[in-house]
Amino acid sequence: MKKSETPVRISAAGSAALSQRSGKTLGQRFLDNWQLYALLLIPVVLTVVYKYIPMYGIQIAFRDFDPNLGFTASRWVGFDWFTRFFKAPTFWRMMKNTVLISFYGLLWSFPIPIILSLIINQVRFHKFKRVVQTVLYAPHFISVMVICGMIKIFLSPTGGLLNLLLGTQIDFLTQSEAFRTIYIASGIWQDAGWGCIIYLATLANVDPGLYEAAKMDGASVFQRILNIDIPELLPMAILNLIMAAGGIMNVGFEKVWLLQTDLNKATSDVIAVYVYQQGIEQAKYSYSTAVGLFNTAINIVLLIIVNKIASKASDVQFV
Amino acid sequence: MKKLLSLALAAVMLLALLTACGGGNNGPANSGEPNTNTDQTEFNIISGISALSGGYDDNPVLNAMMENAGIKINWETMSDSLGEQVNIRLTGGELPDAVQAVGWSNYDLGRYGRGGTFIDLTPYVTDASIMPNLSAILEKYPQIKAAITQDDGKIYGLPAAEMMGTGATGAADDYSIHSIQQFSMINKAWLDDLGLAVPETVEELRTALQAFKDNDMAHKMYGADAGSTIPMSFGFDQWCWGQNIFYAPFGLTNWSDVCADLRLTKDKEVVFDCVSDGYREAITYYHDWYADGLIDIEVFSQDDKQYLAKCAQGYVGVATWWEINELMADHAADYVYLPPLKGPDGTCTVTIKSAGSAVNSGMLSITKACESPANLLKFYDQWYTGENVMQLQYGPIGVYFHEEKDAQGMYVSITDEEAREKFGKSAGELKAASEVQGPKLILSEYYTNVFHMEERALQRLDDLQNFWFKYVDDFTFYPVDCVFTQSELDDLDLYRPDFENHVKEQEALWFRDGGPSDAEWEAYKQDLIDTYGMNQILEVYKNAYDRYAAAE
Amino acid sequence: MRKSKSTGMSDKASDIILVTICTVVLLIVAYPLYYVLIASFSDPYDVYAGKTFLLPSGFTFDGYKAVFADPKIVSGFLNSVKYTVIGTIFSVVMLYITAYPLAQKDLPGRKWISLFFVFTMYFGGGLVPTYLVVRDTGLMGSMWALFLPGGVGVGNMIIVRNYFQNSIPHDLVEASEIDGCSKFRTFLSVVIPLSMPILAVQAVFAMVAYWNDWFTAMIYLGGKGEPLPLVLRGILMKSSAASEQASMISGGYAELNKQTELIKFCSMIVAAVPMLIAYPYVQKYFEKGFMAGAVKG
Repeated sequence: MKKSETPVRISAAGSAALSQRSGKTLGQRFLDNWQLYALLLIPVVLTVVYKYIPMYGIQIAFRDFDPNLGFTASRWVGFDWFTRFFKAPTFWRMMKNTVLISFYGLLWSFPIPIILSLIINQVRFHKFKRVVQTVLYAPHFISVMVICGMIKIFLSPTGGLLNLLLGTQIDFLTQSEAFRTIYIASGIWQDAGWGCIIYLATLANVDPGLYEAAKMDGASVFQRILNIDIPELLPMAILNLIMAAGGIMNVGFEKVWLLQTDLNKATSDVIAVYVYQQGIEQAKYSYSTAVGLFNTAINIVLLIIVNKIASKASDVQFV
Repeated sequence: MKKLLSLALAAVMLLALLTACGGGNNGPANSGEPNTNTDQTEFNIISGISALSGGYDDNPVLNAMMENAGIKINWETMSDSLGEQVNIRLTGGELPDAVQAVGWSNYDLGRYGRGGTFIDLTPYVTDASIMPNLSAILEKYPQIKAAITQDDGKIYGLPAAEMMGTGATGAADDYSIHSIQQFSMINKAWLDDLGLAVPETVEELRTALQAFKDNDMAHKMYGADAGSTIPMSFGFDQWCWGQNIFYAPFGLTNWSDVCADLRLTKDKEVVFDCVSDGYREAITYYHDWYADGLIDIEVFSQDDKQYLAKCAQGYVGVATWWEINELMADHAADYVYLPPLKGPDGTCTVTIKSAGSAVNSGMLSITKACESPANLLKFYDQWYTGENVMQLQYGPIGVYFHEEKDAQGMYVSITDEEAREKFGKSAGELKAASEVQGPKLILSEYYTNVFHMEERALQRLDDLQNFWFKYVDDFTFYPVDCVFTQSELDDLDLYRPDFENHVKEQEALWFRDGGPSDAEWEAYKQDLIDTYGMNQILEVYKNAYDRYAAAE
Repeated sequence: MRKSKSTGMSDKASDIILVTICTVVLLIVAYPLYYVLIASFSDPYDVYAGKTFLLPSGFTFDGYKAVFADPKIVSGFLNSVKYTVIGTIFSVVMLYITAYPLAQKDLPGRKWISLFFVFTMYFGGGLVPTYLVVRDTGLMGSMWALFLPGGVGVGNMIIVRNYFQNSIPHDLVEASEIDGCSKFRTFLSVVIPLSMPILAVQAVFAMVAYWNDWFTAMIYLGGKGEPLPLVLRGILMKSSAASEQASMISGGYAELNKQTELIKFCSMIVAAVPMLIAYPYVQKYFEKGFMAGAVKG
């Protein structure tokens, strides 16, 4: 909606040029854009060298990787590693927990930064606004190790703050019902402010004139948020949602691992921890690559679905 | 978009085939004869190092040994993520001449060995002209040689072990300092105050714990905040601070040995404790204590720091640890060992384990890049004398050890006070600064003829022999140096992690929520067989043991 | 009637509500931060016993002393600053020169090129093959090994690209081109100034990522030019190694273990403070978005 409000209006000559362009041949269009292709040259070269060339490593998912033989000569085993993973006694539990933790995580941690940034953006006291932003951003710097240490202290049944406040004696880390809440809530605490940054920057682009005009019309803050800010944020929000859907299987291993106890495994047993224990600790590169590939497959399917829905409902495109 | 992706994938696969680099040429086949080439005198070695060490370049002990062997070593040392970094190097085909102190598992060693990355050391370790010290040791102790020989009959790494056992104190039988990994302890001052004796049966302990709780002993005796008494605490299935010693009244102490819950019985039968009736009874029994608040609610989730903090503040009546002083800090004098208890029917079974003092061969391997292994191994042979290995383990004579030997002709280490005075460091820091990580074989005889064992270790061995072993009827244990075939290792690799995790999780659930009903118990046992490969695991350990026993 | 001016909430009332919400959120987020700060000055046993929820207990500087006693801390800090500055510039430049062309709806092959980048978000060859390429391109031991293999941050590139598409008025770009500016010139004189907010955001993202990175530095730098996080990690490892040593000899495990805990908190604060100081300076640019555009317009 802002486009129509920009101070510069499309000149008649400009629209004429637009319509002319479509008549050009493909070759001419390439030539027209040579400067743009030149810009792309360095990123493309770096990506080929450092991303595409190493991709030959993916094939070890289908081989029994033997370090003596290297990536291309190790024994071909086809889908053995995948079958082994599917047959793992806890496979379904891991699948379920991974998807649920990501899904619920998304459900909560996706909207909160948006809401926060909408609120912060409307605060008119600049100093206060800056303080709020800086403080919200700070938890991002706390390492996972320290976060988990703190969670343990806060939740401890003997002297933990939460139990003191509730007047209870519950060991939350042994309650499998509580695990996701602990994981997601601490994640929001740590990263909601960080997630705000991108939305606040987007909101910075709103023309102050729009707010003035809205005020003249008697719009309340809530109406201004609804009619001006939200439409401005929507494309960025949808894009973030698509990307989050494409990362549904990527649950960070370290935090789950540090918060896992025997008694919350019913909800905390996730693929990432399994991969760490089986693949990385014992240097079974083939196995971990295969499981990684499986995760990627699911991520991509979800990405495609959500992307399709999003591009139907809006003009936001991931690719 | 899907189509595009699959196209792109196909393109990448093609690219992969095109750019595929060969890393697959095998090294020269290992022959039974030592390689007599002596041209190479400068070697590159990647080694692990203590984070506190200043490096190996200026280590006087190493430099003297290099000079004797007429070689020079360029050390590349790492203290962080060593295994990961070395794996990258080896996989990338960047081979140093040797790899030291990574601690390879037999699985890795076999892999790198059979593939030709690591060379077979058999011809060298048995050749007295190259390795006089080590070959003599292997001749004297054939079991060490057996332990480092892989199932293909080859040796890919030099032996290392710290044989800190009862044998080192001159006892006839040598049992590891790890044989009983948890010592239980109880606050005697609290018992005295309540007029109770040190419990001998589980029921007596229950009474004592109830009394600790009812009288809020931490508050009463140590002035802690009201209600802070924790009658009993531990970390569920943790190594030296677990609850396993308390299972003795029910006929087992399921230590985490070669495999969790595995036991070799008196009749040399391999069984799993976790399917025994005693195991079920124990869990069912202690659940009541947990439910009654006699056991710390936090046992399933606390880490050792939280545990140490609680104990040091004097909140805990009964606990387990490697020893008393460290855990109970200022209150240590009030605590005494709580002996293994008798069960309702008088049972008290404490088993022992051997895993602690295993000989392993993951600390030094020579790669195919090394042209003159004989030269390098002359250097490593010097590690296999008592005096040298002592200096590699603790620090040089003149620094960590006094120059003069004592009346028994043995080296005496510096005390903590002396270390602080002379070097401004604690003895522990001094050791860490001069220690060299690598294939150190510390035979138990060295403790009786070369240097004295540390005070605390001696104390623990003494306690083991004079207190804890009284409760051990049968000293059979599963030998940790059994050798497995590659297919057996594959089986263990496939089944063991899931099996161990499942058993432990189920144990915790029953402990908290109440023991299993008959139907649950049967289903659990069946599930271990059907889903978790219990029989396959048993089979592997049984076969490996049978071969081991036959060889003896 | 409900829509009339008088029923709309007055700005004053909404200010109060907004500030109240912000204050509550602020306190919720700030408290654990305050707690970490306290913990870095307190006896770790008191921390575990829950005695430090409001004020430090068993006040001590030991953790900070141990951290600052390491001679590598200064060089680590300087190295980190160097890597962060260069890395941030590199990253942002890469994002821009990739995102801008791909934001042009009429660029032939646009979709394919996007896909070419997006593919690397989901498929990677793994650590070892990447290591081999880095080695074969001669980057071992050079700080460029920290930047070049990262290539383009694809997720962020897409965000920037969509920002170009949605938030930069297309007519402005068109007008500039009609005025005879080359595409490159338009990019420099119109697009970049108009996108200051997103540029600032990407700078923050890159800055923080380079500042925190220790793993890449450990793998590729070979012990030379260690950045701050790697130095701090080393200090922590030294302390925990010391406690393990002590357990065998003089029985100081518990004591040194306490120090390790303390160092954990202290090193985190030492690592975070420079970023917290730097942030407000970058943050200013988030708010300049429209103004910068208006000047140009």
